[in-house]
Amino acid sequence: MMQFFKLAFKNLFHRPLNLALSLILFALGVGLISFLLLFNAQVKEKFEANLAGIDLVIGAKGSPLQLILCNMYHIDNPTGNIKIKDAKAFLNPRHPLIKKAVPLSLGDNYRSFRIVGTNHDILSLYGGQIKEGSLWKKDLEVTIGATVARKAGLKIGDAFISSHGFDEDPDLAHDHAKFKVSGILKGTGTVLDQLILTNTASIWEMHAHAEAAAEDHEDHDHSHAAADTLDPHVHDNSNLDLLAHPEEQITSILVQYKSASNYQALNMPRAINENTSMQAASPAYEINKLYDMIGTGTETIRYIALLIAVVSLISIFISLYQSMKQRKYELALLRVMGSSRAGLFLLILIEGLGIAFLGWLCGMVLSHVGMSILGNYLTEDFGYDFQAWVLLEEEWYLFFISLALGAVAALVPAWKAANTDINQTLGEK
Amino acid sequence: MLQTKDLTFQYPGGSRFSFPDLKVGAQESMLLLGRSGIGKTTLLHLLGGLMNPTSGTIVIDGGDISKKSGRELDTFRGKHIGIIFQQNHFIASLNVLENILLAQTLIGSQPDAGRAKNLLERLGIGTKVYQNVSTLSQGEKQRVAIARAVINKPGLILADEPTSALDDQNCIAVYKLLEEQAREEGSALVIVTHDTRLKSEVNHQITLQ
Repeated sequence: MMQFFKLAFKNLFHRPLNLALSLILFALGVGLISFLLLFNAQVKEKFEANLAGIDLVIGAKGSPLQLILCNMYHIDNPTGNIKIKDAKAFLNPRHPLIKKAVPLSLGDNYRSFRIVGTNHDILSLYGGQIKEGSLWKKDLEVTIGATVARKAGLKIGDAFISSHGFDEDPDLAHDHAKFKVSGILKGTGTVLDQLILTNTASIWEMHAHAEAAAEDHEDHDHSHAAADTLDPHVHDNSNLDLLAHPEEQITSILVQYKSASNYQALNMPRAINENTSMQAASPAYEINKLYDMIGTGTETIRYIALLIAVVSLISIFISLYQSMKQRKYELALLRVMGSSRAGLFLLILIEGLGIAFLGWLCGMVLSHVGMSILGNYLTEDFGYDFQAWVLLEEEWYLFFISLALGAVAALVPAWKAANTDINQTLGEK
Repeated sequence: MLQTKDLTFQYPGGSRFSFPDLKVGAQESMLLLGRSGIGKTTLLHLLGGLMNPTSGTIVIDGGDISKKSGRELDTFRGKHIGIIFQQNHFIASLNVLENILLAQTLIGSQPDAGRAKNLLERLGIGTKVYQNVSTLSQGEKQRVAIARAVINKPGLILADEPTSALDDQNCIAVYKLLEEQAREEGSALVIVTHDTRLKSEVNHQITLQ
């Protein structure tokens, strides 16, 4: 048995070009499939971890998917802002259907990490806990997520200047006011890790100044109503505080129902969409729609991968079958030296399995290196961390499927090897 | 040693051969002569355990291979019979030493690299141990084939036309080499040939009619 393993691998490496061709094809097929498994599993995991029990997102009218992606996953721009007076029913703590309503105000970033004006309830949605320092209390105090602390190198007491919008741009820096880090959160594995949290009024203050400055600069005399009546100091971070400023704006409200199966709750999104200037979107519904869209793309790639797998199967078959003819004297010789028919069958079978095993190995390296490269891009662009060096259970299935494919490709050549006619072969001079 | 009795072989729907009884003791040599088509190759394959006779017995090292088949015959052949073909083939992916050791591992013995190297030394190709067989000359290949045939100390060494392609001087030299190796390992040596130059070298001769 051992001698056949050794001989099979020597034989494989004796024809390096043939081996390379079979390996490249096999590795491409396995690599693509494994990459899809890795990518899909992690995208799904990210989306699901960040659903965070949020039943509804209320924001400005526009694309519902954009509303979800912007306010829950923080990877798209806002659809616009909503006025507090329009949303006051949902911010009211006595709303009969709503358990939690977390307001979000977006618009600034620090080194591409979003600064979110909100209240302390956001922590309970994502299971966030304070690691160092304390939660924000006063205006311009921030509590930062674990990733922000690590990547931006911020510590308790550090001050920084934010810039307007969602991408880092020194020209758009708000240089009149500095945020100050009051606390750092423990890592949660959710989007919370990449956010900078502060109170809603801090965002208002930032933009009131910005707008006032812009208007001064352009020499408009008429004053901005919101800027004039501004009294942004929200002291206890509660929704009641927000309700006292009906003319101010926020970006969205994340809503958790008291009971998601309540009939009235089920009707709430439609009521909002039909009767108000705002829109309500259900995260689960929108994300499923998104899966369907991604699904069509990945399905196409999956078919291509299957096609490559079939081609590689044929390539292994041809390669082995071809070598049967070249090696018929060798095979006869092995019989002369005492090898049985079963021995020859085993030898060729191991050669097929060997190609499959090496192909699987190369494919795995390919997909995981690919995932680690793509992961870096995704982290840069969206802030989400992807794991490249994990082994999914499905990838082990892929291992056994690969070996099965190698065995199938080797079956006919192995059978032919076992039935080599030694008398005839050795009789030929 | 080798002993055959009443050996016949019938090709399916073809010619039928009857062979004279043979008896070759350990360390003895025998020449099997005959013109082409008389059944030399058939007899070689029968004696080599590469096919079964239609009737009769072939006893090698006390075992009757005419009654053996399948795996039993394969293993017996590997252990007790060493064959040197006119055209010697080797496993292309293995070097000289590995080709010889394969004859041991295929019958389940421990490979004995020391013995293999000794044999190659004795055959005058001790410097070629780690070379690829394809880089050797025809004469060197034949010596490797001899080493491979005797490595398991077989009871019978069969050589098929080992000298026909050689000049007179080399013809005698190769015969001497074979005879010497067979004597060293205690094997019976049967040379199947139509090369009449060997007639003067080997006393024990049988001509197929």
